[in-house]
Amino acid sequence: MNSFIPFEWIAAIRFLREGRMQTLFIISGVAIGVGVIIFMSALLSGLQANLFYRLLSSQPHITLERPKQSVTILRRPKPGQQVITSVQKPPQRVSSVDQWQKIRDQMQQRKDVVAVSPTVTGPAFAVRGSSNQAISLTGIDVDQYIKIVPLPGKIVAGTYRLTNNDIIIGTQLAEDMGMQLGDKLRVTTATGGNLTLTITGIFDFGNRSANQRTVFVLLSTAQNLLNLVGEVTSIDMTVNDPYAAEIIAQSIANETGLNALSWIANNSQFFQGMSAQSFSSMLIRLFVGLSVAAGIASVLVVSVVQRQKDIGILRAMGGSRGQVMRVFLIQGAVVGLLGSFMGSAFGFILLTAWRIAAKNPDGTTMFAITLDPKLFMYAALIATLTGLVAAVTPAIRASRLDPVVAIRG
Amino acid sequence: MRLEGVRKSYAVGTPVETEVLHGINLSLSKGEFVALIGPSGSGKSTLLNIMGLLDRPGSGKLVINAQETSSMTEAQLTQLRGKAIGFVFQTHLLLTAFTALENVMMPIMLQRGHSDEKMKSRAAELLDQVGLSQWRHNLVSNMSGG
Repeated sequence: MNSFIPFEWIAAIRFLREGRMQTLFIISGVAIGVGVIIFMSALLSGLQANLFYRLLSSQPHITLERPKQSVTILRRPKPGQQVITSVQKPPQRVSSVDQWQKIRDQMQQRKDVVAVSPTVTGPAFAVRGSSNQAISLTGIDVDQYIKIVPLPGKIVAGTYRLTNNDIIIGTQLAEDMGMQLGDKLRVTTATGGNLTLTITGIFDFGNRSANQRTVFVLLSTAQNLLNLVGEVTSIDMTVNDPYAAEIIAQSIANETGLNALSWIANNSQFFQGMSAQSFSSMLIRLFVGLSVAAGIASVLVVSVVQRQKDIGILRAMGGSRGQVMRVFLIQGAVVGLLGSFMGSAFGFILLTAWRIAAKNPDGTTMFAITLDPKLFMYAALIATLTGLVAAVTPAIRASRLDPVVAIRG
Repeated sequence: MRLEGVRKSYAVGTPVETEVLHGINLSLSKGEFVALIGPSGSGKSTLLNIMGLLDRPGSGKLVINAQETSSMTEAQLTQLRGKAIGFVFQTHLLLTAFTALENVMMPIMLQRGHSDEKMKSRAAELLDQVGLSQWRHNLVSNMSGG
């Protein structure tokens, strides 16, 4: 017996070792629970990270626009009067952001903003021979815009670099109009803009609608086509914390008086879906955790009954209630800790098997799952605490046993 | 150890209340060897449980090492029991998860919270005295009853 280890630890380990089959079963039970929790957590966070990446990699976190044009009612009722009005909302035109350079500089100075990119967006037509298609023309400052939407990673053919006569189109538009790299495409707008541009890049955003409608040209090209020379229709931004985008957007809206739309507000249904998924997963993990705790508690309760005589002897030999209690608490914690180690290995095997089995039809991984060491650390900590908490009732019961009754059995 | 007018009843307050010890007066000195003899059900175990501080008397006094025990707390009784009382139970009541040596040094180990070399050598000496030194590292569960 090691002289430096407190008696309670030695007794707890000896008791666990003596009932090794029982101990093995409960540790296996904890391991299965921990393994399932680790597997589910990693799978869910991988899935959510993948969905967020797909969503965020094709749109800015915040878009600043000029406020919607509205009608001002000039005639106000005097006291005692009523004015019956029928107000028709004005149609929204492509309009520029006033003093956009000043606002851009102001945004670049904010600590919570990572990148700022002015853009010009407006409706246009792509024309090739007798075929034409409605498109959303987006004029960008390439160097700034790629900090917001990682365009280079989306390019499947050609380059993301643009000159005044270049255009980047989506895979779907290329297919619909039978075009490839180097082909000429005429772009016309309702304001009379008309330019023939060369296709220098084809992108795939993983979204059919975006691949069909969105095209990218240089900022100045779009300004010419949409008759907005020197102006921009929106300022796109990326922020430090994408989850705080809505709060930052509100703060920017108050600061500038512009409409600030966050990606959270633009994708509220997606967010609701994510929240529902997180909540249901949390419930499953909670119930798995509770069943693990109940398993540990039930085995320890049986152990207290089995060890009644041992408890009586310990108490008769001068063992305090506290010492007896600690022996059982330590057993619970050790079972939880060892179970979490085995469970971590089990979770790792499950995740590895999933990574091998779950592939896209083209053989690529369905989505990346990162094995965060913190997840295993938290699992070990939570399982140990669960074991400790589960052992409280059996430990109290053991410590309250009357030595005379315990020895008699 | 001194007992003065120690009484003990079971099923107190019920119609079957039975007084087992009827005012025991007893005095034992250090080193004295005393055997307690009596027919089954005469209260020997009850008296030994009280003298061993495992149970409390219904009335009367129990003094051990000049300390009156009736007003002591549970924790104080446990401490005194660990220091002053040794038990040899009627049946084999040993901790089967521990070795013979560990069982011998258990009371002092419980007092101090851990073992030490002095404890170990003293326990080995005691086992040697009764001819069990060769089994001192055997688990009790692996030893024969004899």
